[in-house]
Amino acid sequence: MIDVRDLERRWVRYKIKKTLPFALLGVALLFIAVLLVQIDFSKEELQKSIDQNGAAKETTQEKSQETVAKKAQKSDSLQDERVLLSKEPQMAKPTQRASTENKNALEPSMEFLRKMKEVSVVPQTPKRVIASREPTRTYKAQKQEKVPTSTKKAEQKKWKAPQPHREKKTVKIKVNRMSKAELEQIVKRFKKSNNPTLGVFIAKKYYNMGEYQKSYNYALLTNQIDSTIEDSWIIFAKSLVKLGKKDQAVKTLQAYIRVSSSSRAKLLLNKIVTGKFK
Amino acid sequence: MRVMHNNIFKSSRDVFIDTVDVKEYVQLDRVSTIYTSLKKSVKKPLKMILLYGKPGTGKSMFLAKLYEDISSQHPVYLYQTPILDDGEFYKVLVKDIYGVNYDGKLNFTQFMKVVELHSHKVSEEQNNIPIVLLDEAQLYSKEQMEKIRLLADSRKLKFVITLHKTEKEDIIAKEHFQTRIWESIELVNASKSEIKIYIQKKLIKNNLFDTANMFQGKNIDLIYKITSGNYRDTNKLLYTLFDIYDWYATNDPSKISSTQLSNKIVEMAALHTGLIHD
Repeated sequence: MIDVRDLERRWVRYKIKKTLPFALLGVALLFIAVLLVQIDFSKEELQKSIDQNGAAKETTQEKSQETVAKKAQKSDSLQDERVLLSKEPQMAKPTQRASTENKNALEPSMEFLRKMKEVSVVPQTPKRVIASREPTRTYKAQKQEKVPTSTKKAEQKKWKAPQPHREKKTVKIKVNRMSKAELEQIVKRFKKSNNPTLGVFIAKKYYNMGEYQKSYNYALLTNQIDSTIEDSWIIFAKSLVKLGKKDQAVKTLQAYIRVSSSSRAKLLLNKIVTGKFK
Repeated sequence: MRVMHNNIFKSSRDVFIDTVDVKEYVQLDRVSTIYTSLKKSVKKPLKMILLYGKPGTGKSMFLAKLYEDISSQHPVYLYQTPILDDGEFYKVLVKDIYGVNYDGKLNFTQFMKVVELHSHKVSEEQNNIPIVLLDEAQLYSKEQMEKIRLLADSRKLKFVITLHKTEKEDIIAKEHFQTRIWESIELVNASKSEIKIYIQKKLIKNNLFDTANMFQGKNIDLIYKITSGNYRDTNKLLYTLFDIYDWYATNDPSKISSTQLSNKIVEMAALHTGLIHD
């Protein structure tokens, strides 16, 4: 007689034994799959955080770079050798910031080194420009670069703000002074030599400078020395118009045209008469 | 209904009692071809025919069927159980084949004299050489097998023997029968489709149509997986299967279906018969 109840229990055991390896395998596979997904997810998270850190680092570096670039542009416009002195401390700042941020980064990045190089290139541009224009001054600036950083900062504060104005003025004064001095010398030479060419030159210079009375005087003197110089008569007539003596200018030109039949004189007369030249 | 079920399952169970009953012989296509071949071989002037195969492949049933079929036309003697005592073996043969009752001990020489004496009558009748069918020949001793070989060589008797195909039995076959066997037939396990036909034919032969229809493809797959198509194992399994069904029909009928066979009960039967282990 078969013990069916016992057989049923044996069958349950048999089924468990038979399906257990598959169930375990399934569970193991599921576990592995979950583990792999988790690893993948954590990798992505890590990558994201690295990316974020990297982006933050880059923005800081970019900002610092921009500041440096702006400062460099400012200093470039100033065209002063002292700017070169201020470059060094400004350059040092972004580098220090980058290095401190690197401590927070999860993996080492040599990006900042490259950036440093790029940044260090920026201040060299004004240096070269200055050097090409005024080699002696660049030499001075280079010498001054050796001054300790503490003193440099103090100096930087002293002259930083008024720099652009001073530079512009210097440029203008340079031109004026030189031309005036030269003009004075030419006037001296004219008085000594009574050379009509010099007289015409001086009259033209004064006319261009807007000193019409002086241009009138020197043109008159030149005409007295040599009454055949076309330029001298033209400057004389123009100066008269500028001095408000339009009729006298017309009469003078008509008299000169009769003698010389100068086409330039005719043209100017026409312009004065028609009111095109005032 | 309950009584009817009980009867069906009990009857179905009894169909699969593992006995060599020629009435229960199931004609399968492949088996039928082999059997036809064996019948033809028996009519040929062969000394010896070897039927071999794994246990449960139907060798004994084949031999019984052959005996059943040819015994009416031909002197044939079937020995399903081996006669291991040498003297007893000869005495039985002499008595069965030639009708000689020998009281004392009969050795091989004496046996050969009896055979020679009676073989004159036999040889006169052409193709009437007695056929001795020996089942389970692997149980005979080496000496006995040698004497059987000598008997077959004398052409006074024809032998059809069955052997289990094992490594050891292969050696016996090689040593004793290699040069003497004129025909060897191998029997193998049934295929899946053959097993299905085997089960259904057996049940239908006994008018058990309801239980025959209970077998579905998945049941046959499982039965074939458990038994590997071995007829003896299939008989054992199905006997226990219907025994369990019978128990359920009596004690817990709600747990079984009368239209579909349960694979759970198939496995329970396999556990009980030791074909699978928990």
